[in-house]
Amino acid sequence: MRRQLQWLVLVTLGCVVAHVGLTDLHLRYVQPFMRPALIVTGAVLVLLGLADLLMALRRGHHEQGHGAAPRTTWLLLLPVLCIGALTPPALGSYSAQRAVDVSAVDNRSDEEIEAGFEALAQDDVLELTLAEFNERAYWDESKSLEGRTVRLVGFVSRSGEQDWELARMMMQCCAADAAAILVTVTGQASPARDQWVEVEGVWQPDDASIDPGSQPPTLAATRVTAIPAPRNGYE
Amino acid sequence: MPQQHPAQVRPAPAPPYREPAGLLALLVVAGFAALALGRFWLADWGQHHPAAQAWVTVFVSITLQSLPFLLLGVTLGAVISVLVPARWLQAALPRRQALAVPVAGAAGVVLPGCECASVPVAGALMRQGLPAAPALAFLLAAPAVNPIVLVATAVAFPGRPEMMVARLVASLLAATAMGWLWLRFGRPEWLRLPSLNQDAHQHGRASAFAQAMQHDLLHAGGFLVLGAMLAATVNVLVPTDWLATLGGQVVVSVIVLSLLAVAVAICSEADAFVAASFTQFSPTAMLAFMVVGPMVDVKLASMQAGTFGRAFAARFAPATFVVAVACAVAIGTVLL
Repeated sequence: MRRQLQWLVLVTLGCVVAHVGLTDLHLRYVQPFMRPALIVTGAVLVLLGLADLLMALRRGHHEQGHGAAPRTTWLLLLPVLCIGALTPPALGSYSAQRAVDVSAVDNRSDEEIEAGFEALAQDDVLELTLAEFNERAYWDESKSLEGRTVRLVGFVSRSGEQDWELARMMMQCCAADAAAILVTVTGQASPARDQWVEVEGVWQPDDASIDPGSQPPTLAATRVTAIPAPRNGYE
Repeated sequence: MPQQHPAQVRPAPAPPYREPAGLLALLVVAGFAALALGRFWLADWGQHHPAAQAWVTVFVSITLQSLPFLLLGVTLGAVISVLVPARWLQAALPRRQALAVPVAGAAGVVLPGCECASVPVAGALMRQGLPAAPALAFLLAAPAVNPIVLVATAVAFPGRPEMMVARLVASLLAATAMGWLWLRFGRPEWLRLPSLNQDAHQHGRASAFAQAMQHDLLHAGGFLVLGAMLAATVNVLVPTDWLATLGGQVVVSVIVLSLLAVAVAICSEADAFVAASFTQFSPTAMLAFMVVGPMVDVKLASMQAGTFGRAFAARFAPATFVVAVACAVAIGTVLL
């Protein structure tokens, strides 16, 4: 790469990284706690680029090949183009269908298993995350969900005639390690794939599989409302 | 890339620095035009190409997640290169290299980053005169044995602290073994450390610091993007729910998860949770996933090629894979 263009690559990349950090865009790709790191990284990249320009101008002559970056440095502009031109959304139905259903993994500690589940709120309609719903459906021996009307928010990961699947993605660090949380919905017509919906319904314990992971828990829906995508699509 | 410039062949007075203003303006205008057109034409491209869209999301995610850690490593590397005198480093380690290797590996505990941070730090250590063997042991151990990763491992495997212990022991063992292997068989000519600009010191410390950072960043950054592209491809093409069906056989499961760790290049802070979700696989296969991942994956090998040269990466990465799998299997058999 030409020595004279290095600063431009650094400044461009820095601006885009800072932009992602400063706006809600970062919620599509990384955990919210990465936000300050992205903003600082963007700022440092811009400063490094400007310092490079300043040093080159002050030195007043060409670097003679020495210190020139390898050609691969151009690749740093690829994420810039991807974010600028394509602005990819948070992971959706394509990934949810192919990912491991993480809610089928019991990672409660011995103490948590001993203590059991806390009592649910006495609201008429319980607002739960998909992870909370599945955890109780799979592991709660007191069957606290039984007969309760719950409200779940997710996107449609699989549409179908008889039943369809509601999903949320969950990540540890970034979208590369994302896993899915799936709920089977029956009783209401299936919206289009990737449509965000609010679903009210009652857990169907008979259908909940004895072997977690072989089939997601089932929700008999009474009401399905299409909603705009939430600020943070991940759970 | 060396420039074809008259000043290179004949040491005449250098011509005055002139920003190629026309080229710059063209690039900036073309860039904005491409973005505007792209946004217009590609407004709903993702609905028709869900796999491509998932690829772009994962690629952008890996890049954004890794850049802060690369920058952390580059900053530490610049501190080592500019502020820490070489004799301090040599005084900190045992003089006998065979002893220095495990000490350097254990010192990896202090670098709280994932693998992206350790490559520039190891490069800076070597540049400051630290022998290659302990520097490489540090490079391999740091992403796997630091406190953040160990705590994450303990959280991902509740009630099974032996997984965290096995990970710590197997990772240190593999890093030390690789350091010793380098002592015995390694050749200095395989390592090509790109040297820093020597005239940096004429311009003061701040300038030298900025140049060291920028140099390491540009040498590793492009390769980081390349690694992210490879990892995103595997991520989108290989459905993890299908992998679960391979968990039955003992030998196959270890090999499958080890190869997966190389291909998906997940941060060492997150890989324990991913390993824990492969419930059909044996604990030893999960351990292999967590020992191999931070030491050799496509993103890391790509960055090693950029920082230490291709001849090095082509030998070091496969050797590390074999040693890491062997250590994981040995420790897994004893502890799990």
